[in-house]
Amino acid sequence: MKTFIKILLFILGFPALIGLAVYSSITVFQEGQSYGFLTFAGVLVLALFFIAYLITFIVTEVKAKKSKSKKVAQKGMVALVLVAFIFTGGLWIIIDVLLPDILDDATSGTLLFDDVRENYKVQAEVNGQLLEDFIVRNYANENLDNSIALETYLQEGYKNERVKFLIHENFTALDTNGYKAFTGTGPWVGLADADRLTIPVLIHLLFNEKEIDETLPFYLEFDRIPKEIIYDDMDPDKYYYGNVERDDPEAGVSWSVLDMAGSPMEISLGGMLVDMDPGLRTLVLSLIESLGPSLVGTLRDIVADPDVAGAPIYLGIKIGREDIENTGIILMPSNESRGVLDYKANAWLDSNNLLFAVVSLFPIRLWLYIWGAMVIAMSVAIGAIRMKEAKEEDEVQNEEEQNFSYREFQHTEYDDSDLDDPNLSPYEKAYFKAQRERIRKA
Amino acid sequence: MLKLRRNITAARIFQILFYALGFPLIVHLVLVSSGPLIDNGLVNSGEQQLIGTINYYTGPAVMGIYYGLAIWAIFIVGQLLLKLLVRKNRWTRTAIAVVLAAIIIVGPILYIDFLKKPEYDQLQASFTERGIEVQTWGKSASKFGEFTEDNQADIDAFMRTYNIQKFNGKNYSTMNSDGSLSIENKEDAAWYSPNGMYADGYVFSFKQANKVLKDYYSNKAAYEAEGKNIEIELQQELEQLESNPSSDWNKYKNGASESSFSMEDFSYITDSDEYEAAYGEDGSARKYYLTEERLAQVLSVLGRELGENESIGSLLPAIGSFIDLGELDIMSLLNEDLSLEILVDVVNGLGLGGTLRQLIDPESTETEIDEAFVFGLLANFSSYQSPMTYPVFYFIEDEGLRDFAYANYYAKIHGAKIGSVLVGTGESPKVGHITMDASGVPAPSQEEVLATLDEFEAFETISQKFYPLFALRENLVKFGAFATLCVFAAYALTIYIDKQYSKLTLKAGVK
Repeated sequence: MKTFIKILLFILGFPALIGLAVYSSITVFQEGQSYGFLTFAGVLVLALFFIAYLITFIVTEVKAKKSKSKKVAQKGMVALVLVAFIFTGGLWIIIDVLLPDILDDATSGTLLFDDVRENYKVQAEVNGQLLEDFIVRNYANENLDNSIALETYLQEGYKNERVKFLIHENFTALDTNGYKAFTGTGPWVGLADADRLTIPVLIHLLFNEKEIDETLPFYLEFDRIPKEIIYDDMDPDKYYYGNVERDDPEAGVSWSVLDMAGSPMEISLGGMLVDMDPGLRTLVLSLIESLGPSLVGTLRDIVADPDVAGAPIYLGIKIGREDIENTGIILMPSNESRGVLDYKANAWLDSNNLLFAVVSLFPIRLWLYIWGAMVIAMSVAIGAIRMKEAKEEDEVQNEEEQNFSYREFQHTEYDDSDLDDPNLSPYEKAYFKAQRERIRKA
Repeated sequence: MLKLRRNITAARIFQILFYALGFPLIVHLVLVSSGPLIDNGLVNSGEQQLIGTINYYTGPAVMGIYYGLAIWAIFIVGQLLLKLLVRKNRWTRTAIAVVLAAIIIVGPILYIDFLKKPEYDQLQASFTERGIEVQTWGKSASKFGEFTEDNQADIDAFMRTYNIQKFNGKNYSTMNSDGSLSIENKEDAAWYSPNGMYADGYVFSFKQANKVLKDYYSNKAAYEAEGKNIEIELQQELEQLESNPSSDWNKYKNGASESSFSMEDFSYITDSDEYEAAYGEDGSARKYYLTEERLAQVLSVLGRELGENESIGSLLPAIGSFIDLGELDIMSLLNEDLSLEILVDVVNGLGLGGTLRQLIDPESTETEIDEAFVFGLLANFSSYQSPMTYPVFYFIEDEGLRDFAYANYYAKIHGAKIGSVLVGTGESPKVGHITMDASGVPAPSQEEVLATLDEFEAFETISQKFYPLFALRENLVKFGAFATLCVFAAYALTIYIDKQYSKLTLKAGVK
């Protein structure tokens, strides 16, 4: 019966913790499955901790059983409780001091400890989604072979060699000739990113002379150019002309500041059109539709000229057929056509395997903290049972011995060895000693 | 025997309880009272340290807590000494300990009330003289927590108005555009370039925004008091520095020897060629703004590409029906020779020069524009002050005017760059978050700004010096007698426990 209770208590301790932690990690496993074993880094750490605890449990159990003494059982309990604490909450208190800085460095400050701490599920989903978005974009621009189904790529994920190749190689181009080139000329990208995109910042971003590595290849099979005029009731897939084969599929590309943020900018003209006389509005709209493509095309050429911005910004005109207010000028970055994500997302994607390893630690961390108390309590309970077992055997064996020693003791009359009891305060010791001394003399 | 034991245990629990209700409780309460002070940027300079997930605080606001701990520590040392010196008589020990407790509780209160109060009154008087209202000692001593929270609300409002996100400022890159590095000055809560100006990516700290606004408005007000307009004075001074060939500014630009400067202790940042290195041909600063050459390149591309576009030709007659183009043939202009000179001629030819001039300066009587006018328009957006050279205002002799010139630059030009405009311009001035898609908030008036700055200054001076003491004093006053009583109770219980022990008689050999 006692063995059964001990097993039950043991299971309620660390094994239950593992169960809870694994259950909480399911989202992380699902989202990161194509990244291989790094996704399971958290569980591996947990397994190591469990092994340490298990070994202590077995050693103390065997020792207690063998010696059958209460003292050994007591020592075993202390050891087990200490190990339980160290390998649950204890180590993490120290890791928690170091981890935020490590995470900050590893992600260049784009992912903060406190943002993931309790939010690991959402973070795993976000990071998982990055891979999916990347594959979808590269399938649309035919960087991924369209004779294979999109679903196949999505299923293989990071395990697919072409996907892995594109993620890392094309990020190098975006990083070196994009982000690093921009940050190499001062704080402007940072300011733009922090909702401080002023006209001077924009001018700096457009006109600062940047250092570009022109030999760096960018792997892109087809150009995918957005149409000059799009309609608000159009399917976003139809925003583009058909893919056109590139002369050199490995030619380098240049990046604009819009590519760093990755999302289009819209300058609304809707308000102006709403106030306009309906006849004039029709005239203006028809004029835009007839002359628009040619004019916008020229403006795109001007922007992309090396003497101006030097990188394509896909200017376009959006016409609000469903809602006239939706009319406006739209500035589209080249991320979607080129099959890259915005800089931050792409930087995460580039080190997603490591990020998944880090994220996988968080559910483990949380349960080690929470269930640590239970593991310690169960260890104490197990220790108590062991002590009880030892005591029962003690009583049977040592009864005679004890009686004998008591008789012996009475002959000794005055024995001061009991004053070594550590439970006595120095005052009590002195008092008892003096008292006995007085009795002896009397 | 069992009963005695139980009495001893109970007495021991009470002994510890009373001890905890003495000095430890006071320290804890001072900590609670100091909470608002620690959170307030002006009292504590926004100082909060982080080691991993552990926060701890430094700065003036925590001083009250340290004083509390010091008082407790003195008591502990006193207790140890007593134990050594007064060995036998327990009641003597108790009496001395209680007296010690009372002295170290009452002493600081008296010190604060009699020696610190005159200091406070003096400060208060000096602020009142300047027309700044400061609360009386009595009110501050009791309501300092509330005042601190109110002040924090004012700080938050100020930071929202001027779009300042971090109390201690933020530098978006330690590297400036031209590759020079900026250095943080923690005391100023600012990042400086080698020329002593703010770093390119530095967004004002609360303190620096205060300083810029103060330099701007107080000097402006001082000139106004003398019936002068500081902006006109500055313009004249700058024109003089530019036009006078022997001005320090021109000497500096030409790399003259240091002994020929009228300025004391002047020294070049790197060497006498630094201005030439930044703004000369191929200069390090020239890559970072729209220079004449760069504009010419852009216009050339514009002319070429538009000229090659056939739809433009069909659009022109439509324009002609709105604006009288006269004999102007726009298509003939659209080629790669398009330049600023040609554009200026076209505008003047169409008679639009005067209109444009008046758009910028309603009082202008000029009827034509020139290239300098166009560059004047662009200068606000595309000039680049090299971090490796001094600006022209560095050479202004009058200190007030110089401070104003710097503040003017930081508030309007640096502020416009980083999206934290401090001083607005034009008919209905706007400040704060002015970017491509945000238009800022209406600017407060000069009087409002100066009044706010005065309040901040008075609060900072008073609160840093006195509020931590008030946090301590408040709790010493409220709980001093109680703590002394608790010390006595703890000691009395010790005696009681000892007495209980003496009642314990012992049978030999029994454990």
